[in-house]
Amino acid sequence: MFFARKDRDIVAVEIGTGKMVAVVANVGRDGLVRILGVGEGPSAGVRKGEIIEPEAAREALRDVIAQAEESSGVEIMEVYLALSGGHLECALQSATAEIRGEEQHIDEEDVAVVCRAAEEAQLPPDRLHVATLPGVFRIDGGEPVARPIGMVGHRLDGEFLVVNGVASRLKNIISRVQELEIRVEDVVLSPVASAERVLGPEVREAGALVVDMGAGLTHFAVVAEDRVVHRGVVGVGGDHVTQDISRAFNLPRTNAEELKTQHGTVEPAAFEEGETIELKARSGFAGKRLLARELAMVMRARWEETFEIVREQVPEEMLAVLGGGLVLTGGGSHTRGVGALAERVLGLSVAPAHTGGLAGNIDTISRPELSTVLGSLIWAQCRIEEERERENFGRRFRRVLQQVRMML
Amino acid sequence: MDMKNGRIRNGAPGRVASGTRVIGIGGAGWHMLRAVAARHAEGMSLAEVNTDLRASEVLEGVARHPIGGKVTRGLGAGGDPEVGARAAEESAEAIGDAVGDCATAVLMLGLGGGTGTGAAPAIAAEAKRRGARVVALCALPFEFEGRRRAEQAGRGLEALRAACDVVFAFENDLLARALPEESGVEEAFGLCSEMLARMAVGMHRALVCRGIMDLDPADLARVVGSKGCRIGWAEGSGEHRVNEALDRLADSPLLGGAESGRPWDIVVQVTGGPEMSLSDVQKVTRRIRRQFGEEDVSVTLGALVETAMRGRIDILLGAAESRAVGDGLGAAAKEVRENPGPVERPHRNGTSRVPHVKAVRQIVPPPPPPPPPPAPSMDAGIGEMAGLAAAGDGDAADEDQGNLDPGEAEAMAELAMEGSSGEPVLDEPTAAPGDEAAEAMGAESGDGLFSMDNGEEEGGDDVRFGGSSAAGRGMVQGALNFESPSRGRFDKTEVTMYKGENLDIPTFMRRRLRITTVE
Repeated sequence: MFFARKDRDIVAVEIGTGKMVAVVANVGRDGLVRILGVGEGPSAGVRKGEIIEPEAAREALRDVIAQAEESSGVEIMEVYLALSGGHLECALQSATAEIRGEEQHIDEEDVAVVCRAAEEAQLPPDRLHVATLPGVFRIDGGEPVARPIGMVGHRLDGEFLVVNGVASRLKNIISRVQELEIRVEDVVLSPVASAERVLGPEVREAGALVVDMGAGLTHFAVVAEDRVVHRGVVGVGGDHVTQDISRAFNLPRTNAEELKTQHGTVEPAAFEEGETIELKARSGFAGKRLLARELAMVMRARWEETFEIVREQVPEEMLAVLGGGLVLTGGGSHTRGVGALAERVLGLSVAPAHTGGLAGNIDTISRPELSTVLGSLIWAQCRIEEERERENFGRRFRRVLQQVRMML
Repeated sequence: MDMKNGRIRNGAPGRVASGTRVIGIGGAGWHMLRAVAARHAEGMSLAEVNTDLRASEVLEGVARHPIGGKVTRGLGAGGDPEVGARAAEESAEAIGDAVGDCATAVLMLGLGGGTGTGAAPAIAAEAKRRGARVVALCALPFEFEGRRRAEQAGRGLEALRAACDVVFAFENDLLARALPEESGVEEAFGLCSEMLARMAVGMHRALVCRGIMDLDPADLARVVGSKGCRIGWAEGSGEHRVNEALDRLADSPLLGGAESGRPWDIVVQVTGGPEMSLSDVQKVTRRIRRQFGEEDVSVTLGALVETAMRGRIDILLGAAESRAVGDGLGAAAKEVRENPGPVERPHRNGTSRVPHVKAVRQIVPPPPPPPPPPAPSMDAGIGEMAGLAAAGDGDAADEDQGNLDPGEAEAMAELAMEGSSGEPVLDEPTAAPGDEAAEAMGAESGDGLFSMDNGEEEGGDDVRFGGSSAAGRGMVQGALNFESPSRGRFDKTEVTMYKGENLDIPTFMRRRLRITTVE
């Protein structure tokens, strides 16, 4: 109990395609996460959630870290890193352990054995285990339980969502942080983090689909009975929308971006037939007039397709039982009409994002774009709590990041 | 077809070019065609052109087009290219029928005899006139077939070079090196036919099918058209299909002796089922790179998903030594490379130029998939494909010995070098059904810019390979091809694929939405 109730500063970092963010928070003795400071800036050298220009990415991150340090007054030594990327794959793995000991009480070690066995599934040499999400257990084939420790049985079966990624890309992103002499305490999967942020406890229990519409990627996570049962990513995001607009109307990217943010919608009917949008001429740009409905059509086509892909990747039976509906987040969720479109394609009703769980000056940062990084803080806080509990038992749970570190 | 302005201008207006027509010419061509028929692919049709119809049986699914009935009285060209050429002249209509309205014509023949050598240039010219891109896959005679055939082959190759976009000329003598000494002639010809058949299907896949990653035709032409280009192929199936295919590829007989550590320029066409993943494709590239010695090896990859390939993978590889690359280029291509013309290169951020836009443009969608082909009539393996007992056109070989000047065997590729020279690539759109004006928009490199109309800047009416075009696919995909300089913001990223679709291509384009331009 020595460390148990000491307050602690934690930092979450997201190296996104559109922006980079670092948020510093303090986890108080009461377990509440208080935001101390934020650094936020445009991203560089990142596409589709992956580093393509390491130096540019590192420098952009350096600025953001400095900004966060300044606004929080905390020197950043270690961070929780939100991890995304089209290369991340997940698989449902199950494993079994025989319970040792006379009394056959299930302890931490037994859970760890099952967990490790599930993680040991064969991976191609270029892939690395990234995370094992909390799973369900069955004792002697009985009903599923979330926390088997302390229960009695002969056999413990566990089923986990095990996530792996391409080693070189994991290294690529983690190295950017380490180059700034900052330790990566742990990695948090982006959709898992977003779900932490936008789903309240009741919705988590009832089950919901979270779709995080980022600039580079669209993540999704299915949460049921308070745990992530499925996650995935579509390698399409707001950048694609901008590209589509730029190609459809023959516009430079900056103008396309402007069109998207100012007039963007996925509802062609929001405009009159024949209504046009005019982009004023300016230096280096001759100006442009286009049909507003066609802009909406182009955007709609992209998001509709993206939701369709999400739908195809979530098993039908999983979708059928999500009582909490659908929560959209990420920058793309600002798009007008996108909720109705998602409802239609995914067959779920949109629920508002949950905004609790954080304290401090959060008004300025309660934006969908920051769901992932804020969710990472909540996730980190939960892990810290769990660890404190475990430390009471005198045993440390094996960290998945150890593996990542070993290869760095 | 006129690709200059990103527009189509078909020789025969109103007709829609699509698919690949594989045309076997002469006796050797028939044998090659038979090997192709055994591995029929979607969107591919087969035609036989011959002066002598007695010798060969009718192949199932192959349209037969006899030529030179008067000149040869149906008895063949007698090993005389003159007769072959006259037969082609006489039967212009039959040749027209044989060529049809394909987007790509693949001519298969043995050089050195009468019909193939004599008629092929005329057939190539007709295909070109009709707007097709023309590829010739031919076998040069064995040394032992004699000087006369070698000389005839040399002249025939010259004529073919002038008429085709790419000519792959295989020196049959390489077979002797590839096969064990005790191998029979049948086995040798069988291997040659197998290779050329694979290449025909590979060409079709690369040039006509819409893939995950499309091979740049310019790359394809550069390598395949190079002198001494080696071809390797392999298939794998089952759980370990990728490794299996790669292991077999390493043992590919005609790749033998390709030394690692030299500057190889490699094109690879990978075809798999819908389950094929990007990591499979990456694995292929990595292994090939390693096999050829990493350094100075350039690997250009095309990947295609075919539902019929479920659980299987097919790799076809062409490798040419880099220094040989360019040797095979036609004069026209060299000229284009050196004087890329007044096509303006758009700035990366797309602000350098405001294209001149026509009042209305259509986004031409990919055409609907071609109807399923008839079930393959044969399921022949290498052994069963043995044939070509008599080389060339099935004529008796000359007795006298002679050597073919290796220089004569140099393959030619007449291609536009926009892609390689870094110039923006004009798309080669193909008319989609119902698209009467075929006013397809061309996509150009640069961030999100379309090249609609570059005016009448480029002269000439010749059909050329565009850098990263997707001719025959009706896709406005040029600007987004794998490894092309024009993927804009997604340059340097992996192509986002989902179920065989390239999601980096704007959805509205793939979904055929029409965008009007407001004046």
